[in-house]
Amino acid sequence: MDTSVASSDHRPRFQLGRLKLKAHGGLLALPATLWLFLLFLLPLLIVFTISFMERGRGGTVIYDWSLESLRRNFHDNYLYVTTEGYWLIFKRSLNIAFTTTFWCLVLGYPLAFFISTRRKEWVQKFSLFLVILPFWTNFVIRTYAWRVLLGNNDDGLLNHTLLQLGLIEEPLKLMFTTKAVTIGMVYGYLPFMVLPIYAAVERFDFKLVEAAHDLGGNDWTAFWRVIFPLTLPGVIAGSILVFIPAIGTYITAEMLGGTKGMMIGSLIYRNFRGTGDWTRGAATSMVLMAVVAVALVVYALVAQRTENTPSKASAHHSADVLSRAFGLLAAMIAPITGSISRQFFLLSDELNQRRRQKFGLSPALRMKRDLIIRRTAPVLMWANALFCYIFLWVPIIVLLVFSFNDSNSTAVWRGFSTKWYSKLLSGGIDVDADLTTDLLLQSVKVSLIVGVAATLISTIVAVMVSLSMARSRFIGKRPLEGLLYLPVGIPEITQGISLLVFFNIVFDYAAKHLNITLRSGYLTLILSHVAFCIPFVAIVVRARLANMNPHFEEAARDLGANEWRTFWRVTFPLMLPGVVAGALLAFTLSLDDFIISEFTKGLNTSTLTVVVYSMARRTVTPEINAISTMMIIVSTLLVGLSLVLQGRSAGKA
Amino acid sequence: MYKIAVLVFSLFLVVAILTPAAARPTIAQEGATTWTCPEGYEGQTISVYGWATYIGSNTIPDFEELCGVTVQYDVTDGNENTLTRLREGNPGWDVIVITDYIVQTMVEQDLLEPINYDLVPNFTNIGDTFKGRSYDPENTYTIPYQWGTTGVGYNIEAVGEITSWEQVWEHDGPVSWPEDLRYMIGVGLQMLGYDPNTKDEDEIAEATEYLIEKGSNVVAITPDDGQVLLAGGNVDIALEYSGDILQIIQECECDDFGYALPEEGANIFIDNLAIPTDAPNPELAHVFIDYILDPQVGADISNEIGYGTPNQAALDQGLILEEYLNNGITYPDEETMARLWTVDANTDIEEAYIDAWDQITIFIGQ
Repeated sequence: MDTSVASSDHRPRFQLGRLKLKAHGGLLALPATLWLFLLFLLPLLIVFTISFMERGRGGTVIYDWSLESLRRNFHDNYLYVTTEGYWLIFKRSLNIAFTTTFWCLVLGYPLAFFISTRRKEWVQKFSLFLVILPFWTNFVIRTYAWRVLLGNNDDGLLNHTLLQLGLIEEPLKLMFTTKAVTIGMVYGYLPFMVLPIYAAVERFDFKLVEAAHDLGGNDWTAFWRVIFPLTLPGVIAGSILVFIPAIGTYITAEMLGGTKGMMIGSLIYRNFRGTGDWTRGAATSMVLMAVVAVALVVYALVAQRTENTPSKASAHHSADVLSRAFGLLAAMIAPITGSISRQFFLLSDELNQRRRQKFGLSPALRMKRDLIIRRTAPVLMWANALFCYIFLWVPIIVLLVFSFNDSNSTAVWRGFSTKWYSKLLSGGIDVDADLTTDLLLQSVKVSLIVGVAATLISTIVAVMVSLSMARSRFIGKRPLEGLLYLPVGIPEITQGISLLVFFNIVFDYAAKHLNITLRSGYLTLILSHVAFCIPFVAIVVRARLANMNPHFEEAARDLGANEWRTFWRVTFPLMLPGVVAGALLAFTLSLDDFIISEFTKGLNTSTLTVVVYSMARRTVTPEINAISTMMIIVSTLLVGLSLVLQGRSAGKA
Repeated sequence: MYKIAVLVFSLFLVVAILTPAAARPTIAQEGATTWTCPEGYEGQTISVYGWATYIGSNTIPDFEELCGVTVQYDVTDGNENTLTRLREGNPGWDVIVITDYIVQTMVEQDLLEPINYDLVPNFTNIGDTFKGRSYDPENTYTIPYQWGTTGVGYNIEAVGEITSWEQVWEHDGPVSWPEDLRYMIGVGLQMLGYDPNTKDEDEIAEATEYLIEKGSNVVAITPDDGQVLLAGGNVDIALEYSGDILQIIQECECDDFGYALPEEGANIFIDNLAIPTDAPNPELAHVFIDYILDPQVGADISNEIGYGTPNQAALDQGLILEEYLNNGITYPDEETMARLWTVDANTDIEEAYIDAWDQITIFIGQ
C-alpha cells in the first residue's frame, strides 16, 4: 500500500535536509493541520452528529444523546432521505454526473492529445490557452450564457439560429431538461478533464510507440497497450476532478434544469436556506458523501492497478499525486476490496483472452483497421478540436457581443452602445441602476479582498505543509496526508453547509457564554476560502517539490550554506513556479466559488458570484455581460502576459 | 514569474481602486416628500433585507440624502430564507420585510424586536383594515408595508384568457410556480374544498397528491422570479405576485400578458416591516420605517412596484396613480376580494407543510 503515500520520504535524496528539519519539520505542518482540522474535519463531524439528532420545531435541532433517540433519529432521517423521492433525485444526480464525466472524457481526451501533439511550442501554448481562458471567467456567468443560448422560445439564440437556417421548424425544447444541465456542466468542467490528460500526454515519450511498432504491435495495440495505460493517471485525475463537483452541483441545475433537472445539491440547499431543516439536510449530505466515496474507491482501485505498470513517464506529476491521495481513501477499505478487485481484474483478463481467441481479427483485417485508423484519426482529432473550441467559445462571444447591446435584452440585438460600460465605470450615474450597480461594484471589491487574502494565506500555509511533508518525518504524518487531500473529495455543498453549521454553533456559544456577538463577514469568508484552497495549492506545490533536482541543495550545503540560506537561495527559487501556479489556482477557485461563499457570507459581503447569481435570476441586463467582458479581458491579459514572460525566460535559458 | 505575480496584484489593485461608487446625483422625480429626518443620525448605517423589485428606485437614495446615512439593501429568496438566516443569528439586518404568515413563527422564536411607536408617528397613516390583523393583533412587532395578491400571470397568446385553476392545470405548455409553500399548498387545499390553512395532516397529504398530479406541466419552481421566465418566453404561465406581473406588463408596453385571480379563489397577503432581534441600529431602523410610512414616500413605492398600499393617508390625498387604482390588478374589486384568503400562521403543524413541500418539489413536473 506504499503507493498511497507520497513516496518521496523513502528516498535517500533528502537525507541531509531531514537531519535538521527533523526537529522542527513537524511544526511547519501545524498551521495547515489546525486549519483543516478546525474548518474542515470538525465541521464535517458536527454535520454527521446533527444527522442523528431530532428535528425541533421551526427547524431547530434537539440534541439528545440517548441511544434510543439516536436509533430513532437514524431511522427517521436516513430512511427519509432514501425514500422514493430522494432516491429519484440521487439517481438523477449520479446519472448526470456520469454522463458529464463521460462526455468530458470523450471530448477532452482527443483534445488534450491534439494540443500536446502540436509541434510548435507557441501553437501548443496558444491551443491550451484557448481552453483555459473560458475557465477564467466566472462560473455563474458561463452558466448564465447557456441560459441565453438554450432559451426555449425563438429568443433563445440556438433556436433562433437553427430556425433561421431552416434546420428545424419548431423551437427545440432544451431549457429545463437534464440535457441542458449536462451541456452546461460539460462546458463548465471540460478544462478540468483536459488539463490533467494534457499533462500526462505531454510527458509521454513517443519513442515508446516506435518501440511498440518495432516489437510488431500495430497502431491499435500501440494505443491500447502503450499510450492509453501511460496516460491513464491523467484520465483518472480528470474524471475525479469532473465527477465530484458535478454530482454536488447546485448552480447549473438550478439555472438550466428546472423541475426535471433538479439535483441533490438543490435539495440540500433548500434544507439549509429554505425550510431550514438541518437534520434532514445533514443526513442528505452524508448520503451524498457516501455515494461520492464509493465512486472514489472504484476510481482509486483502477488507479492502483495502473500504478503497477512501470510508468516513469507519468510519475510525480500532479495527476499522480491526486490519484495517490484517493488511493489513501481506498486504503481504508482496501483489506476487503483489495482481494475483490484482484479477482475482478484476473477475471477480466481471462475474459479478454477468451474473447480474443474467439473473435480475434485476422492479420489482413488488422492491417486494414490500421490503415483506416491512420487515415481517419488525424481528421477526427482535428474535427473534435474544432468542435471543442467552438463549443468553448461561442457562449463567451455571445456574452461579449451582447455587452454592447443598446437595450435591456441579453438575447435580442437592438444596436451598438457602450452604455453598460460607462454605467459600471461611473459607478451608476443612471439613477435606475443605482442599486444593482452599487451591489455589483461592492461585490467585486469583496471578491478581490477575499480572493487576495485567501490566496496569500493558503499559499503560505500550503508551502509550509508541503515542505514539511517532503522533508521530515513526524508523528501523524500519514493521517495528515489524508486530511490534506480529503477536502478535494468532498462535494462543495457538503463543505458549505458544514461551515454554516460550524460558525453558527461557534457564534451561539460566544453569545451565550462569552457575551460577544459575532457575525459572518470577511473573516468567515476568508477562513473558509483558505480551508478549501489549501489542498489544491498543496497538490501543485508538492508536485513541484517532488520533481526538483535535489543535487542543487546538496551542492549548496557542500559549499557551506546553512539551512536558512539554502532554502532562500536554492530551494525557494526552484519551487517558485509551483508556488505561483498554486497561488493562481487558489485565486481562481476563490473567485469562482458560489456555495461556500453563500453559506459563510455576512451582511454586505456577498461575493461577485453570489450577486451575479441572484441578478442573473432577476434583473437580466447586459450589465452582467459588460462586467464579465471586463473580467475576460483582464484574464486574457494576465494569461497572455504569463505566456509571454514564460516564453522569454525559456528563451534566456 | 515574479513579474506576473506583481502584475496580477497591481492589476487587481487598479480594479479595486476603481470600485468605490461615485457620488450619485439624487433626483426626486416623483412628488417631493415633506418628511424631515430627526437630528443626530449622520454617518450611521442601516441594513434592509427585502424582496427584489420591491422598493422604489429613489426610496433609499432619498432617505440617505435626507438623513445623511448609508442604507444597504439586500434581497431575500423568500420568507423561509429570511427565517432560516435569522435563526442562524441575525447577520446584521436592521429592517426586514416579511409576509403575514411567518410573523408568528418569528415571534415565537424571539427573532423580532417590539416596535417603539414613539419613534414612528406616521403609523397613524396606516388604514384601519390593515391594523391589528390576526398575525400580530397589537402590531407589537410589525407594521404593514405593501399588500398584494398571488395569482396567475400568463401569456395571452399562448393560453387565451384565464378564469379558473383548471385551465392552469390543463395547459399544455410550460408553467412556473413560486417557491412559496404555504400559498401553493393552500391552493391545493382550496381546490379540494378544504380550509387553505388546515391543521389536518391527512388533508395536507391529499393536497400534496393533488398538486403533484395537477402540476405535471410545471418546469420550474422559482424564488421570486417567475415573471422573468414569463417575459422571456420560457413559460406560458407563471404563478406569481400581482405587482411582479404588473411590472412586466408595464415594461413591455404591450398586451401580451395578463393576470388573473381564478374564480375558485386565490391568496391575498400583507407584507410587513419589522426589526429583527440583535439589529445593530434599531433606532435608525425606526426612523427608516417612519420614513416609509410617509404618504408621499409610500405612494412613490407603490406607484413604482405596482403593489397595494396600506397607507390610507396616501390614498386619501390622491397620491396613488389612477392607472393603479383602476387596472383591476393592484386593487381588485369587492367581488374578487371576497374570494381571496390569507395564509395564517400554523406553527403547530409547520413540519407537515414543510414535508409536503419537500415531496412536491421533488415529484412535480416529472
